[in-house]
Amino acid sequence: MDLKLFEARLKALGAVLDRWPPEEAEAALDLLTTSEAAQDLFAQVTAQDMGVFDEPGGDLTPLADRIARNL
Amino acid sequence: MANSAMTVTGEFGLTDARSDEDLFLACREGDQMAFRVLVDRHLRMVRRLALNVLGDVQEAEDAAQEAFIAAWRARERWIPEARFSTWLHRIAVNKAIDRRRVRKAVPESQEVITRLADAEDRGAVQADALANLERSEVAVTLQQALGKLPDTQRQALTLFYFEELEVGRIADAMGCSEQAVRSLLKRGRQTLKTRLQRQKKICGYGPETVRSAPEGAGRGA
Repeated sequence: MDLKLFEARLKALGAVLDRWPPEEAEAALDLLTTSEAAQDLFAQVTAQDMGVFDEPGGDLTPLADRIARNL
Repeated sequence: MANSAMTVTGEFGLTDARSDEDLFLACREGDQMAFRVLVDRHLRMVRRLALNVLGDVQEAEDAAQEAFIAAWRARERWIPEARFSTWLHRIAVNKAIDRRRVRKAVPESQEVITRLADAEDRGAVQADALANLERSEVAVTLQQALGKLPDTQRQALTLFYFEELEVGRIADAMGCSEQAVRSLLKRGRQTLKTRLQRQKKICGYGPETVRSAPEGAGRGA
């Protein structure tokens, strides 16, 4: 998978890779492993989705505390 | 630069006028509060990125934690040529991918074994099938020996040989140093070698003995 196809799939399917066809998800992961441009694009779409769908996600305080304890 | 010249309130209500980059530079002096503000600002996004890769909340939170800890540890060598958030998001994606591969590593290695065993069932009377048979027996033995290794050795070997990850990536995925991974690989290989040699002596494995494979395995030879 190249960056152009990855971008097209991101627009069509969103950034939740479990919703992609398995083979394409694997190809996307391979690209994400090697391409910072793909990683940046993935982050952009994720951020857009969070804005659009108002990510709930619950209370992240315990996780933040856990991170602080492990520094 | 991100968040410059404005006061930003994050997830937990921490307010700081400094940009992400200025905060992270402050972390170089050991300012953990500055880092806490960065966690405050970026945790939800980092967790979401990991969740999009992993599809599991608990694993996503573990990957998010690893990403922030990796960022903290890299603070002294960070060069502010890119936005902090961009850099952090890349770390998060890599951590999540590493976790996903760790999760898949053992089932995939088992799948390889299964494929070899299936090939064996399809026609062991031909020469290439005999080779498959030998390979499958070695693979099964290898899998059994792997299964008896300590978890950390098995994980390191599986990631190195089946997932073909580099030592550095394995170290990131396992949360240890590259030196520790090399040590695990070395000890794991030594243990495997000893056990496989012992198994070979007991079973008489080798091309000339393939025909006397265990009974009841559905083989034609």
